Amino acid sequence: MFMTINRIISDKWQQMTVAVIAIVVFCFWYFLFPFVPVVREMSQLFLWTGDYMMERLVIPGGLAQYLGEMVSQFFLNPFNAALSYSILFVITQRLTYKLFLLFFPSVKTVYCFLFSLLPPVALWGIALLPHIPLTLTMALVMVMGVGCWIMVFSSQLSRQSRLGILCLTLPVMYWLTGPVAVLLVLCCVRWIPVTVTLYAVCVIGSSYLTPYPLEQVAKGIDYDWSGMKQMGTFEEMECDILLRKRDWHQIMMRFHHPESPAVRSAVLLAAYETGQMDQKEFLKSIIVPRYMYGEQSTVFNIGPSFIIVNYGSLSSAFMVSDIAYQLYWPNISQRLSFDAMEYIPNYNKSGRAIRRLVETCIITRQYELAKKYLDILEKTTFYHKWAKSMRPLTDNPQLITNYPFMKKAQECYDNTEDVFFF
Amino acid sequence: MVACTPTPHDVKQSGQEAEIYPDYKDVTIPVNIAPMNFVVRGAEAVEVKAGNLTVRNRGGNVEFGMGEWRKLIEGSDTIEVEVTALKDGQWTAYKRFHWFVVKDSVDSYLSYRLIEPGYSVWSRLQIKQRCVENFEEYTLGDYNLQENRCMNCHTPSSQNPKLSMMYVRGKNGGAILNENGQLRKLDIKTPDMVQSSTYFQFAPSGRYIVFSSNVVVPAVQGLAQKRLEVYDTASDIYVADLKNNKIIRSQLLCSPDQLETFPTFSPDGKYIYYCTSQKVELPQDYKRLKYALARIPFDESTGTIGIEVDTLFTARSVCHPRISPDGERLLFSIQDYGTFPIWHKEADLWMLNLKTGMVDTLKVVNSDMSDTYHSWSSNSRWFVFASKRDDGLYGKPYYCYIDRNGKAHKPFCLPQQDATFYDNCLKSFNAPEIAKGRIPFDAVDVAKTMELTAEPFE
Repeated sequence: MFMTINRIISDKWQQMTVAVIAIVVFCFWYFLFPFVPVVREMSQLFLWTGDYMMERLVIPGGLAQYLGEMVSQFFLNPFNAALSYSILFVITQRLTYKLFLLFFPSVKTVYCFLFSLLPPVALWGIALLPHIPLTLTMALVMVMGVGCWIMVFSSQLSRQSRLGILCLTLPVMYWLTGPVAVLLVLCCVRWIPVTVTLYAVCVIGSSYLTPYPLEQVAKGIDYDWSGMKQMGTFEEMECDILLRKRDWHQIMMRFHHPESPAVRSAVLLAAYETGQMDQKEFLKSIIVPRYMYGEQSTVFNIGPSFIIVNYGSLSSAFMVSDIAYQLYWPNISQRLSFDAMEYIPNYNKSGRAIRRLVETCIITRQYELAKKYLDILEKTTFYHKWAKSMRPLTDNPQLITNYPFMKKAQECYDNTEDVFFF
Repeated sequence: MVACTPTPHDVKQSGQEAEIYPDYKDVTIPVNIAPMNFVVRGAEAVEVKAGNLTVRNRGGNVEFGMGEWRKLIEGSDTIEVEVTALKDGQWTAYKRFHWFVVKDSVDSYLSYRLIEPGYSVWSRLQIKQRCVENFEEYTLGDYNLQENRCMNCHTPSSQNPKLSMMYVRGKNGGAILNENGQLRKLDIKTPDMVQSSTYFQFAPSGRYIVFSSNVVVPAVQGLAQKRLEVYDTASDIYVADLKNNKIIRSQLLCSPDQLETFPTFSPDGKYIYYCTSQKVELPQDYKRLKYALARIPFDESTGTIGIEVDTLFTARSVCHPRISPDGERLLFSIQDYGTFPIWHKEADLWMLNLKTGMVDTLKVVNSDMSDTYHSWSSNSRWFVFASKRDDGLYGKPYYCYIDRNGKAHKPFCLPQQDATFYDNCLKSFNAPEIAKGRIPFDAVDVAKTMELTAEPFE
């Protein structure tokens, strides 16, 4: 028995190691940082239409972006996100290992294996940065896959033949995956001056074909959404996921001294929703005079005849939209969902925002507009069913009575005092 | 392809109108317009007969080929359109409608800004120009090349593509003046102005522009009918001499008690027409902001502003006055109050006959949603405006014909190659401006010009 186990371990130790690390990756994302992939999902609106795909394919790195967004749409569920990341970890590790074996056949496999863990671990770390979308990871996986293929396919061919294959593949892969394709030049080290020149021509040429400056094209159009501040702090992201689930008890448990006004406002809302604060006290706490700052500032600051809404990131904008929605302020909720989309660094639309726009349009009786948004959501994977269920309300507004919250919001809206918000 | 598409059989005749989008039923169109492609909502297959042209397709999209469209439209005064559609397994022939073709062409190009109909934050701004005789579109300004700066509406001088201007806002921004394709970057703001130039129009000679300098404040309202209220807390009017880089001022146009805005020259250059309102306490009294239409003389030969102000129209609140090139009609936006009609559902276009003083409320043109911001064609027979009639939020360009009797005809939406384009477009067409030809610069030229130092004005 022991001998059998020993043999299994000695034969399969690499696979077992990778499996263990993959489980660790899964647990990391599912239990520790589930909110980061969720922020990725809410920063996009993946549509199953030809136009959506073509819009991506017409720029360098477009296929990597398309595939990255296709995977990211599943991150609406943190379980899917954790599973996706661990699968990507395994794929990246296996490809890296294969490449090391091909490039360095004389190096011991144990060292190849250990080195092969570095790129997936690095990508794991990068994935923790919300402003780095999945585009870079997908691009790297695709380039490594093609690199393996070139090395295997051309192993029996002459160096010149391999160079020819590379010269044909490099421009194609550059257009599909972006600047990461430069790694393919390593497939033909002797001819690096030629292949790097070809790569440079591709980059410079693509800057003329696309409406992006050369600097952005060279860095990768969708590799890096610079400016993490736009996405929000980890505190905001974590609170947002709980606010979205209306998990009031968790919000109150996790955030005792929040730094963000948006999180502070969410805690106040949670206190009100759990009955720990009455309405009068809650409104007095959440709508504060303009001069309030520090630990007492919230997202709504009141002036003589207007209210200023404070938010400064994607996550806080969504949070304020949710809070305003709970407070039966559909116009403010609508505005914040709209503005949240403007915070998305690569100018994507957001399924979450469009869904909120549908809700507020129905409440405020903008039915034609709601239909336009529903048409779009019906082309998604995860908002499709919900969109179909909401469509009857646009043709038969009286059906809103089947949705008590929206009905109540509409009644409050009809009696709203006309106040300016800035 | 045609052999694979279903053909009508067992057709039921219906007296009802087909549900088509855009609404191209009984519209008047110019002889040089691009194919009027449309979609029949909910159709599984469709057959459309337009004159002697027949189009069949799976699904509801109806697209005409360019060559056959040209032959059809150039050889017809009236085109009868018959729509037969397959829905739920039944073919139905709907009530026929017509396209009335007029020989008065519309100027070939249209420039517009594509912008999200947002609140105070923007992104992905583009200024584009489109040839309305086909579907070609070109970019004049692109957010990618402008660090996502705000760009304001490109306006040609008297529909002349060789003289036009647009603004690029923000740090190191300026007015980008196009003179025969050569671009200049101008800093029109002087220290006495409350803000940089906001709305402008060229003089007919092209030497001067008249512009307003506005402090613009956007505010979100509690009522969705007016999603956003945008008002000016200060605004004044000036004239800029583009030849000598000088600003021409008048106390009558920079009054501390008044808000003066939306200036425009008359076609003969002898008057500046503008809108003016008494200042009120803002934001609390914003509903008392009522802009009147006024004019003041201007002498192009001496570059001087006159001293007599005529008030021409005072009902409700007037915005965007624009006079037809033949000098006969003044088209303007009107709303209950305020100065930003695109956020007012009740905003309509009215037309003042400058000879008779009669006002036409253009019932056939207006909808129950915002209809604003218009631009005339060079022959004064057409104007384009931005309308939110479809859904109340996303503005689209609509063309309207004014015949020789001054009668307005039912407007039509700018046709697109894919008839469902507007369904999926999440941008508004803002500030449409007509031009006689293609604007001779592009977004890269603008980006290069932005690197220059702006020419100051005195």
